[in-house]
Amino acid sequence: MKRFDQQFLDRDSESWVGMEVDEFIGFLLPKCQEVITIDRLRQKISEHPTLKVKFGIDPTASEIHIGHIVPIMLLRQFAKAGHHIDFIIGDFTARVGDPTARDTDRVPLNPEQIVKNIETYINQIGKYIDLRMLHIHYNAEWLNPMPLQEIFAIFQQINLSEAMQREDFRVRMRNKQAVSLAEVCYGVLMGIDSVHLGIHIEIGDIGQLLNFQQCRKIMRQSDMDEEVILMTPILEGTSGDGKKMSKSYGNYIAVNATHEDKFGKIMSIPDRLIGQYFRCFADVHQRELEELDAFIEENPMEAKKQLATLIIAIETRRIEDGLRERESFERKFSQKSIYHEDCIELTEDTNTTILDALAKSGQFKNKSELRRLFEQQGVRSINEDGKTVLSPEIVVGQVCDVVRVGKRRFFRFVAG
Amino acid sequence: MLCESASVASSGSLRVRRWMMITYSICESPPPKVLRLGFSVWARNPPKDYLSTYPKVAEEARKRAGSDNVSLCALVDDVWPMVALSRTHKEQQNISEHFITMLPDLGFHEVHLVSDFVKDVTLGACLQYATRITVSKFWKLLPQSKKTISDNLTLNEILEFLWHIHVLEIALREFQLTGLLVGIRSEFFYLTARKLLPPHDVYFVNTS
Repeated sequence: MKRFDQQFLDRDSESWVGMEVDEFIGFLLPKCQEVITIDRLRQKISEHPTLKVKFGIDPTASEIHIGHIVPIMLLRQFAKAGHHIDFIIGDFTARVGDPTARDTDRVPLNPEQIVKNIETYINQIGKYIDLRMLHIHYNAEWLNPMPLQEIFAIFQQINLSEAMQREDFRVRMRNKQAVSLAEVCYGVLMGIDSVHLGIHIEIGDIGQLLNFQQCRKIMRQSDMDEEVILMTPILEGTSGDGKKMSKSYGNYIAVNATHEDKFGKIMSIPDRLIGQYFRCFADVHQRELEELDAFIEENPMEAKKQLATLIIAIETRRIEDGLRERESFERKFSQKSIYHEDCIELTEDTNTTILDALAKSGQFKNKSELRRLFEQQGVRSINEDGKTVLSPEIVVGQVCDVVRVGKRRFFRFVAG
Repeated sequence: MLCESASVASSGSLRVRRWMMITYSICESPPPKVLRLGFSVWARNPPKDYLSTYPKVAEEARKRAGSDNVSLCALVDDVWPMVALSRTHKEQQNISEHFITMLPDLGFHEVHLVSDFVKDVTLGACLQYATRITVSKFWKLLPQSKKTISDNLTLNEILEFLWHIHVLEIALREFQLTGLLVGIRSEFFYLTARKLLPPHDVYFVNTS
């Protein structure tokens, strides 16, 4: 059986400095949904031994999911090839609020939240990219003190109607949702970041297309060569209903989730997403896509396990960590063998209802979540005779051995 | 001559009055003994004759409020013309001088150049207000004359609006102004801006 997980992880630690241009582009393109433009990308790579590559984030959330990591994986390829990575933390723009993909009014962040979010964000992306490769900038450094004369000269070039009538703004206004003046200015501010740093390449997700176009315009008007834009797709969530990965849709895999949780969630994605996830997280070359897709088609379960193994291993740079999760997953779900260490042990009085005992475990948001799981017949006792659906009124004393809640949580009750 | 026509409405705790030259006013609370009124003027050109009306309007506002005294402060914006018209400091200074010498003669009690009291002339200072104003509200407050040429307008319309709020906020605090005299044509601007500023009264003046 072909081992893509091992192959891609081995590649992960390679240096790509000095790689031939088309070979390098062959690695970049599988990660991109759109490039503006490929010819200019080729030209820039050929002309500049060290490109200035920009990736910006607004620290608007503290906990991120692996969908946020997709552009980071593309950024990492540039870092491996020895390019200069300008990592912009939008502490100024976060106060303004990126309008991208906003279908509701955004509450601007206060400085304390921003500082806290930056810290946790950096810690999380550090699992996927060597932070020492990043030149970190805070855009308030140059945006905040920018003199009125300078910003006037830039704003003078941007048509007000055009800026206000972005498609996403029109949709929001049609739905009676607010669009702030600050949001109208957002793309221009991103453009100022690019001008300030003299950027050659910018990376982001496809949702930012309108902002990127504004960036290019600002660069053009500042008599600079427009940056080349590489846009990654927006990762689809685990539920398979076509929705993007998002906390609010509950279809996400948190960067800070345990390896077990990550592995399990990756195993739950529909087969049609395996290829997309591989392209997003592995260094796949264009010429390998056909072989990879054929492998996924023929062995979807194996491919998914390798994908999950790889995603765990990328974090720790050790294939063993991914393989350990794979083994544990196979034992629990394929061979149905639950070990003691797989279970959370709960000590409870034998007369306590199982609903109360589980609620006290701290593993669930609230009792409502648990009740829902009971209603969906998601709480089962597992014993030698098979699985029995449990009702919430059953007391601990009546439950034998292991209780499985949902797909991946196991409990053992010990009489207290 | 100013004369009160009627008291027409009240909005919450605010009292709204309608006069002839002061079209109406919005007052936060019972008037203070001394009214300190600000009037903002763009120093694009040397001062014009119509400015002589404002001290009279201020005096009328005092009478109507029943205050003992009134002090009228001119807030002369010499910064925006430099920004928008790319004037040098020297060029602007020539025009600003006219305001400094002429306005006291017209009856203004204080004349303040914006460049003297607004020290933070940056993007950060202006953009702080931008999160609190919606595009649709902003569009409503643009005068009709500008709406008709909307295709030619630039983002600087927003910047100018934000700058003006910034100036007023600092002026209200710095000079402890109790209110502003405002041309009725800027009514929507001030009604929007008012919510972002420290509490103050507004007297809308019919300048036509």
